Amino acid sequence: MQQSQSNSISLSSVQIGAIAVAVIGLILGLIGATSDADHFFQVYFLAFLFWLQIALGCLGVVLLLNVLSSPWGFAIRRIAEAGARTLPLLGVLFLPILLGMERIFPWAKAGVVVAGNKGLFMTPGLFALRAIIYFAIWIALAYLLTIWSYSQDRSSDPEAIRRRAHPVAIVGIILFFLTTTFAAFDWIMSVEKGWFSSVIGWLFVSQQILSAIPFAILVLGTLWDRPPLAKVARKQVLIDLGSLMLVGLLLWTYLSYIQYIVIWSGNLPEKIQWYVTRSAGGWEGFVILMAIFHAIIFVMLIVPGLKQVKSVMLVIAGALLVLRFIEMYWLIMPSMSASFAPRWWDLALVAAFGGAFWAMFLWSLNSNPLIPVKHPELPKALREADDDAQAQIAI
Amino acid sequence: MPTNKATPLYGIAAEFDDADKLKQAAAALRKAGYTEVRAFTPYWVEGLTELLSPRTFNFVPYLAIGGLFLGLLAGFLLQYYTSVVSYPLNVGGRPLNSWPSFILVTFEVGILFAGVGTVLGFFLQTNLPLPYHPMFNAPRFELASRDGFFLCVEVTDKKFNLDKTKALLQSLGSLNVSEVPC
Repeated sequence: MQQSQSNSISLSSVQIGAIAVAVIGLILGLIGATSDADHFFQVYFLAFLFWLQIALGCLGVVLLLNVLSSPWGFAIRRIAEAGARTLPLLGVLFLPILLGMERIFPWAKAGVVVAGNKGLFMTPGLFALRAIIYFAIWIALAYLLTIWSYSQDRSSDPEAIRRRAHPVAIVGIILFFLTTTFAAFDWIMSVEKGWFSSVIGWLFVSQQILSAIPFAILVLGTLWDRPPLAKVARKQVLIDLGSLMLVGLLLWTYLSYIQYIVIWSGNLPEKIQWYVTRSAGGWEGFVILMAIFHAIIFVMLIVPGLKQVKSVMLVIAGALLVLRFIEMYWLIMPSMSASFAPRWWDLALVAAFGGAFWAMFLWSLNSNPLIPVKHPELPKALREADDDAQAQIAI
Repeated sequence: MPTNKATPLYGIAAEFDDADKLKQAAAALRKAGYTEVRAFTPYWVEGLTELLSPRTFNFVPYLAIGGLFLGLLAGFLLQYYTSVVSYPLNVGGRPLNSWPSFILVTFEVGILFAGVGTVLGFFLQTNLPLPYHPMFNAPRFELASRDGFFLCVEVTDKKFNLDKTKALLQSLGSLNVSEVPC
């Protein structure tokens, strides 16, 4: 009991730190905004997308873990649930983007008429309506499943809750893919005038995998020895999560390449322009950075034995999150300015967003046990983990 | 099969009822210090390999990665040679060495060669095809591909002692223990 109290105290102090970062970062960002309001909204949108992909990835993991159960799942389930519960905060923080729409999206600028059916789809009113629908679905799924999961800890019939959550999660996965695909159309694809890519929705999902799993590993690695979590935190969990990162990385590489080769082969002016702007004016440095570091991480993830070293996994997870930021910067900002021109307060704004995200995340994480203690599959998972550990000792 | 003093001995074989008993016996042999122990089972028994002997050199990963790099090189050079050197063709004004479009075939030839390397490594590693093996002389050995589980301690083992090893195998709950000639 005393142990858990000291946990909550230390987590609360981190939470206060996160709120402080949010406030200071926002002040710095607002000071910057007085000199360049357009850039403020653009970086704000970038920060929103960066933290959103983590939260959405967490929601995806929650949906998945309500369908299947495995030891690695129990280790990161509460982390993913707390991550998914930040979605209402992100929904509120989306509102300023509606105010600055014409500073971010070319189709929203005054006097611009988008031709054809696209013009019917890309109007400010419908854009806002769609955003409301996405967030409504995401928040409903996240809260429904997490409230059930939390109530399971105190329930007398945990099996009934699992049976109730199962079909919701299955339908939720379908809705999740539909909404994230359309969100990627609205928020990532439409920043470049006239550009389209049918693979961008899947690419966005692969970015979410590569955000949420590293995020969960960072939190899991930090809380490794905490009482309820320590029961499931084992080497095998790290290996499984490392394999998941590898899968995400392969998927991301494949989709990125497919999008590139299709557009490169077609060589159509309105599509190729997206890559032309992103491979000049300093943006080519982003591509080289991403290529080199993803290649290094890929090799690290396939070397046998490296995946079970916690410090290595934490480094890989941290690097992948930084790479996601680099990638999001590269996806969004070249459409705003032809050459790489950061302002001193860019990172302050992103950190401010992150402070708010972490405060909300830790609040959810802190108010519940770190593993679903009464989940019907938990004893089986623990037994399997024990068997593995014993087999290792025997050999 | 009665052992003729003239034929050299391959080892001592023991048959077991099921995989668990086999694993227990293998663990006991390992504890007793035997290193040259072979197992013959109708299917893959999980955890058995680790009990048998310290890991020997494994060709497969090296041949696989070697094949991969060879294949990547071969795949790329094939396309480079055909479209730049041998038969230059202007396709939509693209450069002759259009490496982005070469990646697909380069990757696939790399995978093909890695696969071939893996199969070659498998044959090298397992000494297959193997028309004759001394274990064929063990009684009831044809059951090893149905429901028999066999262990064999080879004479090359440093701890091998005809009587002691035999007694140990008998004490491990085997169905029968026999000497296997070469």
